[in-house]
Amino acid sequence: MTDATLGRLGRLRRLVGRSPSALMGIVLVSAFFTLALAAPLVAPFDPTAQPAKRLLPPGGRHLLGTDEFGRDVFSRIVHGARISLQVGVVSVGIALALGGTLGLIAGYCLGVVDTLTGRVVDVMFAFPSVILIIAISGVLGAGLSTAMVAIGIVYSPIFARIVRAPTLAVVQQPYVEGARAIGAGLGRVVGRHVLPNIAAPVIVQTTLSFSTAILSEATLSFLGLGTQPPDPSWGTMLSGGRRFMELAPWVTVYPGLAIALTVLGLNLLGDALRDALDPRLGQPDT
Amino acid sequence: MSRYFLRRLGLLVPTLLGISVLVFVLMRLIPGDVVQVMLGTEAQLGPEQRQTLYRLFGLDAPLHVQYLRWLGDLLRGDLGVSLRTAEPVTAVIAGRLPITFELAILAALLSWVLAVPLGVVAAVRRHGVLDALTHLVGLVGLSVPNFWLATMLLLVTSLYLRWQPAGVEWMSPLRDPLTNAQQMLLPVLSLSGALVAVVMRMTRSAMLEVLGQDYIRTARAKGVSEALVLARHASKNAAIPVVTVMGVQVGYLLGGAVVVELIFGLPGIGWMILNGIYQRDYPLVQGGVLFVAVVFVLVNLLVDLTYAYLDPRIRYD
Amino acid sequence: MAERDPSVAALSNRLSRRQWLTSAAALAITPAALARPMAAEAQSSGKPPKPGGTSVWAAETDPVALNPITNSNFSSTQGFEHCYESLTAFDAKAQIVPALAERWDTPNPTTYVFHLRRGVKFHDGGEFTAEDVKYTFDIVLDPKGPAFWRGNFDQVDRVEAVDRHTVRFTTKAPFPPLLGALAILRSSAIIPKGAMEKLKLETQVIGTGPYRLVEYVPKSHIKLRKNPDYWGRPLPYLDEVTFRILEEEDARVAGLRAGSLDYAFLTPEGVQRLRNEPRIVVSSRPRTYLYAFVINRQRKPWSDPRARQALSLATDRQEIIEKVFSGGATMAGPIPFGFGDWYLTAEELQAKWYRPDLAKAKALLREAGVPDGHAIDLLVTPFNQNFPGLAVVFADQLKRIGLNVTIRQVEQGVFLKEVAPPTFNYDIQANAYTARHDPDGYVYNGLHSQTRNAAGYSNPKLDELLTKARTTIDRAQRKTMYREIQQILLDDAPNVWLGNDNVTEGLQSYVKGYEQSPYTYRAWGLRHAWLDK
Repeated sequence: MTDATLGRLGRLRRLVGRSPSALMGIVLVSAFFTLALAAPLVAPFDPTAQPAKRLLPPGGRHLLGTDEFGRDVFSRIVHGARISLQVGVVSVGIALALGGTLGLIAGYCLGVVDTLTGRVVDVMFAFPSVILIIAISGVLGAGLSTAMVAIGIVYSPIFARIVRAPTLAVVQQPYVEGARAIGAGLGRVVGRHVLPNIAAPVIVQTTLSFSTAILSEATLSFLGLGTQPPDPSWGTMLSGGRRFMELAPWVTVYPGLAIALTVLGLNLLGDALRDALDPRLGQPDT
Repeated sequence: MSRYFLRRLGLLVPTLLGISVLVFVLMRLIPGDVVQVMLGTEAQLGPEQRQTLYRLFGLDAPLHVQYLRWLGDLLRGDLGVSLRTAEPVTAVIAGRLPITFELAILAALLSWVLAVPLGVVAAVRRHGVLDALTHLVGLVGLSVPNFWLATMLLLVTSLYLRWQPAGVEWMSPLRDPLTNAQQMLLPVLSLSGALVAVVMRMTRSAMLEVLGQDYIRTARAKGVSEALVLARHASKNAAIPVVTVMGVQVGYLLGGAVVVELIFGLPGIGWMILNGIYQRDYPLVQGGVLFVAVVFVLVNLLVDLTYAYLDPRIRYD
Repeated sequence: MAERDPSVAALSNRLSRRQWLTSAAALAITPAALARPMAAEAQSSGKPPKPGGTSVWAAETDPVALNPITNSNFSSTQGFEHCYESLTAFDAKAQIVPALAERWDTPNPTTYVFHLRRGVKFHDGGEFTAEDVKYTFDIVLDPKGPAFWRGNFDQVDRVEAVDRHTVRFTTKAPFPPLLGALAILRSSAIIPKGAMEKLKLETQVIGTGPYRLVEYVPKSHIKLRKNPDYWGRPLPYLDEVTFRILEEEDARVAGLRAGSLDYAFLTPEGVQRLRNEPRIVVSSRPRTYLYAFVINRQRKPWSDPRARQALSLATDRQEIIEKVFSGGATMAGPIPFGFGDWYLTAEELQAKWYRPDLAKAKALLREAGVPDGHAIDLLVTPFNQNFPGLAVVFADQLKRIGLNVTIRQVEQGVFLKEVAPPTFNYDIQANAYTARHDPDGYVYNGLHSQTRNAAGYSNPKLDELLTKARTTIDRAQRKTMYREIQQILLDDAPNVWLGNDNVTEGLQSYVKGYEQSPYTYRAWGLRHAWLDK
C-alpha cells in the first residue's frame, strides 16, 4: 500500500513538472496561505481601523485604496485571507471529521447502522444546501464560527459517501475479515487497511470542498450571516462594497480577485491531484 | 429493474419523513417567530393582542401537535397556508415553479453546451497549453461567487449597453419567447457559471477514462480517424456527466439559485424559501423545502435509470 | 372649530433653500446632487396635466402583506397607500387635508364629529358610509384585536355612527394627534364593513382610493389600475401603474438608465451613478426616517445616565452622516430635523451633548464606574442597509473612549426576538423610527415608563410632560412642552439619537406633477403624476 502511495506521489511530482495548470494551482494556493500566515507583517494598517478619508482611489499611502469607512483595502484583503482560508480549513475539517466518521462507521458496521446513516445522508443531500446553511446558522446564531460549523455540517454527507464505499470494499476483503476474526480492533483495521484506500478521493474532495466553502462564506456574507463586522473576510468585502461597485470599483475588484485566484488555485490543485491519484484515469499519456 | 425501482420509491418515504422533521425542527429552533417579525419594533401591541395572533396562526398548540397537524394535512396533499399572505402554499409554489424550472433547465443546458466541448478538448490535449487554457476558462465561473458575477453582469450591461431586462414581471416563454429570453439571459449566465466547471471536469475525466480503454486503442490502431473516435464515443460519454451533474446539482439549481433570483428580482422557489425563513412563515418554508426535496429525489432516480440506458454495463438488479 | 392647523407641518416648507444647501454641502461623495434642480421646479411644466398612459415604477421594498389593519409596517403601508384612504390625509407637504371626511368639527375638546363625503364608492361598487368607519374602528380599538398601530388610538374611547354620513369620535382626554393618526394610514385605512371576515385582506384590496389593485405578486410587482369612480376625479391621471419590486439598487439604476422605469427610490450612491443621465431628474429632501442607537437602560452600567451621556458625547454624528449616509442625512434630536417646527436646531443640539468631547465622555464613564475596556454588545440587523454601517462607525468611535465594542449582526427575526420586551438582550441596538404623524409618535412609545418598550427607563417628570403634551390642544403650549421633553431626553440619553436621512428619488423627465413626500409615501405624488410624452 505504502509503495502504491509513494508511486502516486511520484506521479504527482511528474505531473506538476509537465502540467502548467497544476503548477499554477500550487503556486496560487501556497501564495495565499503564506499571505494569510504573514498577514500582520504584510499589512500596513489595522484592517478594522478607519485612518483615512473614505473611498480614496488606489495609490499613495493606500496601495489598493480605501473603502467607504476609510479603511485600507489592501490590509483588509491580507487579513481577509486569514479569515477566508480559516473558513475553508475549519469547515472542511468539520465536514471531513463528521462525514468521514459517519462513512467509516457505516461501511464498517453495515446492517442497521449503515441503513440509518444512509437515510441521514439522503436527507441532507435532498435538503437544498444554501437553505440548509442559512437555517443552521440561523439556529446557531450569526457569526464566523457558526457559519463554519454550518458549512461543515452541510458538506459532511459528501465525505460520508466518499468514505463509505471504499471502506465497505476493504472490510469485505478476506484478509481483513480474517484480521477482524482474530480480534484486530476497529482502529487497527481502519489505520492499516481502510485509510490508505480512501486517501486519494478524500484528498481530492477536500481541496474542492475547500474552495466551495470559501464561496459559501461569501454567499452567507452577502445575506448578512457570515463574518461579523468590522472583521474582513473577502465575502464581506465583496458584499459591503457592492453599493460602490460603479463609483469605487477598487473596493470590490481586489477582494473579488483574491477570491477568484484562491478558488481557481484550489481547483487546479484538486484537478491535478485527481489526475495523479485516480488510478481509473489510466496511464499518463504517452 | 422494476424491483429496484420499487425499492428506490420505497426509500422516498423515510427520506421525505426525515426532511419534514428536519425542516420543522430547524424552523422552530431559529430564534424569533412569525408574530415578532410581523410586528417589528414599532408596533404597539399589548400581550393580549399578541396572544390573539399566535392563536390565529395556530402557534399556541404544543409542538408535536403542530407537527402532526401539518403532517396530517400533508398526507391529504394540503401544504397549509402561508402565515403572511394567507395564500395556500401549493398555489404559491405553483406560481413560482415556472421561473425556477426555466432557470434550472436553461442553466443546465447552457453549461452543457459550453462545458462538454471544453472537457473533450481538455482530455484530448491533456497537459497541453489547450488543456490549461480550457481549464482556466471553465473554472472562471466557479471561481467567483455568483452574486458577484450577477452584479457584474447587471452593471456592465446597464452601463455600457443601456440594457435592462424588459417587462415588469417574468414573462412565460410560451407567451413571449423574446421578452422571456431577454429576462433570463443574465440570470442563466450567472447561474450556469459554476456548473460549467463541474460538467467540464466530469466530461474531461470521463473522456480520459474512455480514451485509455482498449477498444479505443484498437479503433485508433485500425486507423479510424481521431474525429470519428471522438464523435462516436464522446457523444455517449459526454451525456453521462451531464446527467450526473443534473442529479447532483438539481438541489443547487432549485434552492441555490436564491442569490441570482434575488439580484435579478425573479421570484423563484429558492427566494421564496429564503423569504419564508426571514418571515418565519413556517408552512411556506416547510412546503417549499419538501417540494425541492421531492424533485431532487425523483430526478436522481431518473438519473440512475438513464445510466442504465447510456451504459449497458450498469444493471440494477 | 375645524382644526386645519396640522399637527405636522411641512418639512419642505420649513426648510429654507439655504438650509437644504448646507445639508447638501456635506455630500462629500455627491457634489452632483447640488447641481440638480429641485423636484418641484423640474417636474412642474405649466402645461395642463394629460390624463392616460401606463407607467412602471420601482418599489424598493416588498409590502409582504396588504392588510391595512394588521400590517401597517412601513413597507406594507407603501404597498396599500394607493388603494385605501382614511377620513383625513396628508398632502405632499404633510399638511392634513380632508379625504373621506369632507369636514369635521370639535364641539368639545374630547369630541370629533366627521362629516363624510357622499357618493364615495368602494372598489367593489358598495357605497361608503358611517357603518364602514365604525366597523373599521371597532376592530382597531378592540384591546384583544390584531391592529398593528392600536397605540395611535389609545386615547379614543369610542366611535359611533351618528347617521349614515356622520361619525363621532369620543376621546378619553383632549387628543390633538387624532387627525394625524387617521391621515398616516397606519391601522387607520377604512375597509368596507365585513371585509375582515369576507376577504383575504393580505392580498385582496377593496378600498376607496384612486387606484384598484389588479394583482400583487410578492417580491415581483403590484399592479394598479385607475379607479374610474374615484371621488377626486379627474385624479388620478395615469391609467395603469405597476410597482416593480426591486430591492436591489443596481436593478433600479439599470431600469432608470434603460428607460424601463419611470420612478425609483435612490440612495446617495444611486444619485452619483445617475449624475450624467440628462433624462433623469433627481430630487431629494429630508424625510421622517430617524436613526438612533437604543441603549439598554435596564442593564448596568447603562442604568446610570452619566454612562449614557458619555456615549452621546463620544458620538461624532457628522462622521456618521458622511461615512454611512454619504452626507445624505441631517443631525437630529428625538424629533427629526424638518418635522414641522417641533425639532431642535443644530445649535440647540450642539449645546446638549452633540459636540463630541472625548475627555468629558471618559470622565463621565469613570464617574459612572465603567472600567476601561468595558465590553459592549452592539446588536444590529442588515434589514436596513445603513444599520451595519452605523454599527461599524459607532464601534470605532466608542473605541476612542476606551470601550470595547463587539458588533453582533443578526438576521432580522433574531434581532426582533432579542430586542422584544422583556428579553432586551443587548447593550446597544441600532434602530430607526419610520413615519409618525405627530411629535408624540417619536417620544411617547418606548420612553414613557408605562409603555412596553421603555426597557427600564423611567423619569416621572418626563412621564407627566408626555401625558400633558399629548392631551393639550393649544399648539403653542404643545410646542413648548415638546421642546422641554426633548431637552430632558437629551440630558437623560436613553437613546443616542443621530439624525434623519433624505428621501431621494429619480424620475424620467417626462413624468410631471409628482411631488415628494417627507414620509416617503407616494400616494399623493402618484395620483397627481402624468406623462408628458
